[in-house]
Parts: sequence; structure tokens; C-alpha cells
Amino acid sequence: MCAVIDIKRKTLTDMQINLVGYHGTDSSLVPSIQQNNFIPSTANRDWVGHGVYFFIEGVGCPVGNATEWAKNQAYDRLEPKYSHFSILQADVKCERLLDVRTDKALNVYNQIRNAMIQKFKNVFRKCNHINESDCKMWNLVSEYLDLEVIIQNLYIKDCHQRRLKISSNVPNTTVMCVRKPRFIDKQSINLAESGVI
Amino acid sequence: MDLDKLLSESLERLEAMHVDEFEAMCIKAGYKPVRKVLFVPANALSVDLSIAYVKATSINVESPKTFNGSSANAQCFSLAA
Repeated sequence: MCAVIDIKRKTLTDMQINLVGYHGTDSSLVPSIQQNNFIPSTANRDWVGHGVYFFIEGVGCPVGNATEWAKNQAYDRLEPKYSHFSILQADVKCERLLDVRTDKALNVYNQIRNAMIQKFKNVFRKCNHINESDCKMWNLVSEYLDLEVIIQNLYIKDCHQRRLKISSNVPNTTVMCVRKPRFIDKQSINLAESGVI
Repeated sequence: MDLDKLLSESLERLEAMHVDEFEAMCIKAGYKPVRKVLFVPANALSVDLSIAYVKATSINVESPKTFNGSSANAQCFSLAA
């Protein structure tokens, strides 16, 4: 196992990459986040696997996207779960980044995924769930490649699109998934914006 | 990050990865893999031929039948002398 990590480290350790992300959340959680750092999401439908999600510069305005997200997340059916939202800005420092906005990185992901599926089929009983969830496959590929951060363009419904149930495969946001909170500079977490739901 | 090198080395390493390690990684990712059952040919078996064969027989007993036994027809019977 150590040999595996050694090989990966030797191959992939590059210069440090600095990124800035924006995270929309319930205002009441801000003191805890600033004191203890973010808690990674472990939901089954996380876009590119489990981790802490930020909007970054790219498609759309990251602060606007984070605001939209925070407002939409406030609603659980009809009742708002929280009345005030905050947008937190944070610095992320990493070395092992896979930016799947590029063809090359997408090809890496797709080829590793196909190899994973083939190996899965060779040694495990036939099951459909290997292909079902992007989240699990991202977890598997990220774990295998020892990735720290993933960047991807995504389509996320805004308030209007949710109301009209408009689905699309045209990305309208750029999202960064930080797999472990230790890559987030806790001291850099500061309030970028806040408002009422 | 040299993606070409990453890809070629990762594919090679995955190919050689032991099933135990791969299984642990899949479980950590959220999958519930079930290993394929491996069929191992057994050694030759000797069969004991001194087995008695007994045929089982069942008897079917039908329910008793009644013939014009209804009490409503009792007046139709002729009385004994």
C-alpha cells in the first residue's frame, strides 16, 4: 500500500495551486464553520463525490450562484429552514487537482472509470449500481487517484428553473469540490455577503 | 499534473491491484460489492451402491356415499309387514 502511495506522490506532486471559492449556507452556521472549518457533504447525490462544495470563477458569477443556492436550500417544501443566508469566501490550497472542464482531464476520468467498471465486472457479481451513481464513481476514482480537488461545470437549477422544473445539460455554474477540509485555509474563511431568504 | 503519465500508471496499477484492495476501495466509495463465486472442481467421489429402493404407495379412501337417504323422502318407503 505504501508503495502505491509513493508512486502516486512521485508522479503527481506538482506546485501548489491556490483557488478561491464561495459557499452559500445558513447564517447561523457561520461561527461554527469559521471556528471548526467546513464539514464535507456525504449525500448520495453529490455531483462529483463527497466533499465541501464551492462555486468558483468560471461559468456565471460565483457569489450569485452561491446566493441562489443558499436561498434554494433554505426551502424544505413550503417552510423555510432558515431565514438568513451567508456567502462565505475561502482559500483552497491543493496539489492534486482534476479540472474536468478540460478534454484531457475528462478523458482521464472516463478511461479510469471504464477500467474500474471492467475490473468490478471481473471480480464482483453482476449488479447495475456500478453505473447508476456518478457520486459513487467519483468517490471511487478520486480515492484511487488520491485527488484533493475536482472542478467541474454543472447545471444547477436556479429558483425560476426549479419552479418551472427546467432540466438541462448546459452548465450554468462552475463548482469546486474539496474532498477534505484540510485543503481549506480555515483562517481565510470570511463573510462575503449575507441576506434574507 | 502530468495527466498522460497519471493515466498510464493508474491503468497499469488498477490492472495489477489485488481484489482485497479493490474491494476495500469500492466499499469506501459507497458500493456493496459481492464477490463472484469461484467453482473449484471436486475430487472423484465413490458412490455406495448398496442402497435399497422402496416404492411408496398411498391408499386413497373415498368418502361414503348415500343413496336417497334424505329424511324428507321417508314417506316413500314401504313399511315392513
